[in-house]
Amino acid sequence: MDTQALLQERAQNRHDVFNNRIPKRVPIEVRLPMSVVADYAKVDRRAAYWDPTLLKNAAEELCRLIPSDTCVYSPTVYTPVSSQPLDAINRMMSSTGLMQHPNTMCMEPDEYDEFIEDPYAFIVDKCIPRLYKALCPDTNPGRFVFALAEEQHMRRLVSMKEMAMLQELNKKFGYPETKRGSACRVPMDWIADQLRSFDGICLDVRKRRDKLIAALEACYPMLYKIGLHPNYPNVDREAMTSFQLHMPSYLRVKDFAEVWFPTWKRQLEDYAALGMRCSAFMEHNWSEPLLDYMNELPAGTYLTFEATPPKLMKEKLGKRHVLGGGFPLANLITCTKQQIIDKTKEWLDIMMPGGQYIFSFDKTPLSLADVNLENLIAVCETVLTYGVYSNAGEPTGEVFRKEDYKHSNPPEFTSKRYMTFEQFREKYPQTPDNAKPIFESAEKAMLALMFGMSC
Amino acid sequence: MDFELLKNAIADLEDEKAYELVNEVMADGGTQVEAALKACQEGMDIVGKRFEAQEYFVADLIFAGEIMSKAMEILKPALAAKRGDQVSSKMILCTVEGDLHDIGKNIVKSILEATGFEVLDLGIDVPADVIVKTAKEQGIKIIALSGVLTLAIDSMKKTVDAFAAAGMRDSVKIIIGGAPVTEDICRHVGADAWAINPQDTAQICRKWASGE
Repeated sequence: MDTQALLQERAQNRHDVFNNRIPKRVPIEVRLPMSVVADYAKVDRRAAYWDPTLLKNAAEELCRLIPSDTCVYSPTVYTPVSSQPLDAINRMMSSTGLMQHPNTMCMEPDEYDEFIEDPYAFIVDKCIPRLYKALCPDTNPGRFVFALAEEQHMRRLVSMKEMAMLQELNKKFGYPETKRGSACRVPMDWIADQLRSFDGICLDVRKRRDKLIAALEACYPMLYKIGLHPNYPNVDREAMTSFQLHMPSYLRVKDFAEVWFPTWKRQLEDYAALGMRCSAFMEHNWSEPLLDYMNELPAGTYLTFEATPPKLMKEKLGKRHVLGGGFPLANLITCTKQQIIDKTKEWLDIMMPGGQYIFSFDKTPLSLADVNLENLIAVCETVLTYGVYSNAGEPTGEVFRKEDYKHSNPPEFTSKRYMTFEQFREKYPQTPDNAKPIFESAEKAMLALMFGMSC
Repeated sequence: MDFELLKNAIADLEDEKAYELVNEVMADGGTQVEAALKACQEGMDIVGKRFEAQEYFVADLIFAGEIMSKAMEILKPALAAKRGDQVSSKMILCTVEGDLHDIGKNIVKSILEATGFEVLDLGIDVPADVIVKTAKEQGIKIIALSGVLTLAIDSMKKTVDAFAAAGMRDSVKIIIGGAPVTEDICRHVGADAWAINPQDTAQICRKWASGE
């Protein structure tokens, strides 16, 4: 098949999956992050972070070997290019050259009231300086003035080269461009991840429950705004607002239902009322009661899972939502080639029927040692040949209807650290109207940046 | 004192009740500290069983760990006086090389310490040779390795292999735990045991310490 035809087939398959139609075959989403490709290329990861194009030949080779419907090379999420110039404590490099986020806290248990009063101001005034020492005058005298601008400059230089490489790979191997939506967080996960830390939030849900619930309500307008479709009101339902669901499987069902779920459900229903679709990665192993709650989410939500048994996922959620993930990465190193081919077929027998399914692993590999390449190729080839539908084109699944969802009309997001154009013009009365879109775009970009830095 | 109350306070995660009771134990200088410790440990055993039965979740283990740590802190002076020169079983606990995560490790540590182990916590991102060297120098026979990321599996295997290369494999017991760990992984790594429930980790280590 020529590259253009392949690209169109891939795009059509994915479109069908997300539009209630059985596709020709199961789409395959296998990606290897920069750290794995660096190991494969025998290039020092540390060097590759600063110049991913060192991996170009290796990335091409892997794209050629591994039959995936998405570009096999995937940019890294955490990079020293961003963290080290900012002296970050939330993204650190291990001794083996891999960036990670350790358990971090930047909000004390007695600071809930301050957070509730103005969440964005709390992030800007307290959290960001605590997480990024280079942004504090005390810990980085003088240089704190330009530290963030310097980091953004470095990141731009690296990113430009990496994006050019990705576009070349996409063109050469017929990968459709990934449609990008907004990245957001479930309110309680956001407060957990870096503000209160994992163990902090586990204690708060018992010992400071009322404060925590109040905090979730307080930050909702901000998170709602951040997660809106980037081109709203021109919504493309394949450009999804994405969430990483961290806390649920670690909480009692009661705490999930009363504390974690309500604000997130509200957020998804608000977006559904605008015609948007969301995606969520369900970390760890979700129990049956938790899965039942997921059926309250808007139809067509894209859910990728980790350790939840596939039969349970398919049975509970397969009709209403689009599913992905779950296939154990560990199988690559524990199985023989024939074993993994058999396991892939067994897996597809469970997950394929009725469509609304994309093949991917339960987790992303982080080093080449996580991947037996021969087995990985065998898995993808099996999905390619065994994952063909005999009933392609048939309608399937619950159809999403915008009218089914009522918007909750959250209060408009305001903060003493978020300036409106009117406030700016009050200070500079000669500012013309044509400055407004530029000014507002910049405030919105800074909001997204500060939020991203606190995730 | 009715030590059932203390056991149940720990088991039911009633933190204030538990602290009130251990403070009561210490009111006379802690003459019944051993009974208090036993009650706390039995309470933690119940926590472990409830976790296994999926009545309790990881968040509850963290809460239990905090309650237990604070209770031990209150009882510590009396425990130290009672135990004197008595040697606790010593073991190594760490997150393996390349992995910076420590939440699970810290939960397990508090439970192991409550069980009576002296835990030598080597921290995070610990290379195999450091673990082997420490075990050799200090004569430690029980090693607990933790990891959350998939790359931890390779590091765990390297650690087991390092003990073998040092001629120490048969004289140590190695247990592994963490998100990517399964029975298949344990076999692949060559560890002696694996656990995802911290109480199971404690039980297995206790058996090893008593020579089983």
